[in-house]
Amino acid sequence: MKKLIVLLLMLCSLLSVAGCDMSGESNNDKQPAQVEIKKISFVVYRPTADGSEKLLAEKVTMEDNGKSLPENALRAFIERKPQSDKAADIVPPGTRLLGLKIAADGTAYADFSKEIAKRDQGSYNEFMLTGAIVNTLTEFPEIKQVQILVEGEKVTTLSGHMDLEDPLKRNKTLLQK
Amino acid sequence: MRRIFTFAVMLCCLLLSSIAGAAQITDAKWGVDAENVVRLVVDATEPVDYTVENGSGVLTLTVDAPYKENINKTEKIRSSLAPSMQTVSMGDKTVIKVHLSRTLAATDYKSFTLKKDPKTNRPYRVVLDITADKKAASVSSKPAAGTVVSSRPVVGNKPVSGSKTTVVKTESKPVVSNASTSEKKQEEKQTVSPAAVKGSGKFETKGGLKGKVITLDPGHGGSDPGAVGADGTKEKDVTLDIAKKLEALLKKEGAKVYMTRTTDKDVCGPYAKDADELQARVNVAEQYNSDLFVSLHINSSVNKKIGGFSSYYYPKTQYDLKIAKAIQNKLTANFGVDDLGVREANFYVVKRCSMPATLLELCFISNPKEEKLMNSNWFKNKTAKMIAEGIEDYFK
Repeated sequence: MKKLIVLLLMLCSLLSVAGCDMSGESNNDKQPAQVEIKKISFVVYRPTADGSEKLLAEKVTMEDNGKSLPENALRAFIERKPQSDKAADIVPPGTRLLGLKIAADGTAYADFSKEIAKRDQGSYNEFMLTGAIVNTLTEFPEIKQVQILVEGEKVTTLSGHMDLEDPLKRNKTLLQK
Repeated sequence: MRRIFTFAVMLCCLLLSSIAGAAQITDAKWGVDAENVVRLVVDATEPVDYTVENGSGVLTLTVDAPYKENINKTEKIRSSLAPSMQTVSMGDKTVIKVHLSRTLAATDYKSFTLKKDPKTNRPYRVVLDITADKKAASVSSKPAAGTVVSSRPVVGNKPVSGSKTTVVKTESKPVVSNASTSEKKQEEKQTVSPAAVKGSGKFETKGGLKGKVITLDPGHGGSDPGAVGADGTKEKDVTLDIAKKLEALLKKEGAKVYMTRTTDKDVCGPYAKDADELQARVNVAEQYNSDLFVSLHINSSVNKKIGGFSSYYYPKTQYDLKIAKAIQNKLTANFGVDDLGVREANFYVVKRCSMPATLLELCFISNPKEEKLMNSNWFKNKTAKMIAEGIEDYFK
């Protein structure tokens, strides 16, 4: 009988420990302490606020956080508000960058959280969003084309218009004055 | 001591039951797609294990979770190969028997699971496709020269050894059966790739509307509402209304018109992946060797001030730009809304069909003024009329 109790208690503690583990997982995201402050800058492309099919270049300067320039640029596009009211923020709320990998062939794999594949966004938003991401990344010479991933998976489309099965190349038309 | 013991036992029972007994089957239904594939879909609240057994005359799908209520239901299936299915509660399992008019080979069916999709509110699903009578709708699997086809490899059915296939859940839980998780994932992908239908690759661009074959594609539908306005207007409803009006106008002029959908539904089926859903729309145009494909959409942006018409094309033939221009000119000349212009875009439906095509964005649902506009019959009728006139101009 005693053995049974011990066994049950062990089982219980095991289960509760497992539960704690799962909830505590998100805590190891801490930034390393900054020692010296170095500035970096790069260009982020954002769509114009007037709805025309144009991207505006925005220069972002920030403290060096040790991350690569392409990653910082993509993060700035997603996380920061536009500096000018001539540019619009068209990133679906809640969108996070889950990872950015650059393959030797010049293809960047930009992985976003599921929020980016918002159904309720028109083709304009989807088109400008993908265009801004691709042009922001292809500003860096090591990136030739961009494959957009959602939650680590290749997707056909974000919201039912764009064809994302193949990597997207820089869209120069969006940059014309 | 006794109390602690009882408490511990209760706690354990509670924990165990919440882990083991969570999955429940909420629905089991069938569908037959345009290519005559019979598809069974079982909705589950959690990932579940299942087995498929191919007996003589019966294909049995056993899912390791109870149906939400006790069930024993037989229903007819619109298929001569599988005329009926029976869903039965068997203790903790749910058994679905598909009665067959002949015995299937191991390659005649395939099963896979689909993950929960919070985006479209779809639950975990176990899918069983019976492909034995799949129509050779994908007749010309060779793409016509110069057309853009999917870069996805078309993968055939994996040969299955023996008549019984055991499949494990796709979630990251420990794998307990012989099939590995990676193998499963691969299977999930290859089964869902739709076969691209290729038409003759020929199309007419001259000689008036009479006798021309035109496929109209009301954007979104069914489980995908498309963009939604502040007042609750849904893109899928507006596009369907306008498409129906346009269909009537074009038919009056002697054109043969096909619609990718005529009701509020998904074209491929409510369980389709994006690739299937978009390809299914292209397939309609290809199947009827259409001369023209017109997809109707309503735009949206987080910027509520943006409004206006835009016509998109993909420059795969010399006529794509022409049709986009012809319609855009009519629309913008007759409405007092912004002309956002004719635009080139890498849009799936206009890129992947072989005939000239345009995707029209008929104002912004996110713009309060335009949302009001698109709820009026005046706007829908006039838009349909202008598009019809644009198409007429194109075929002149």
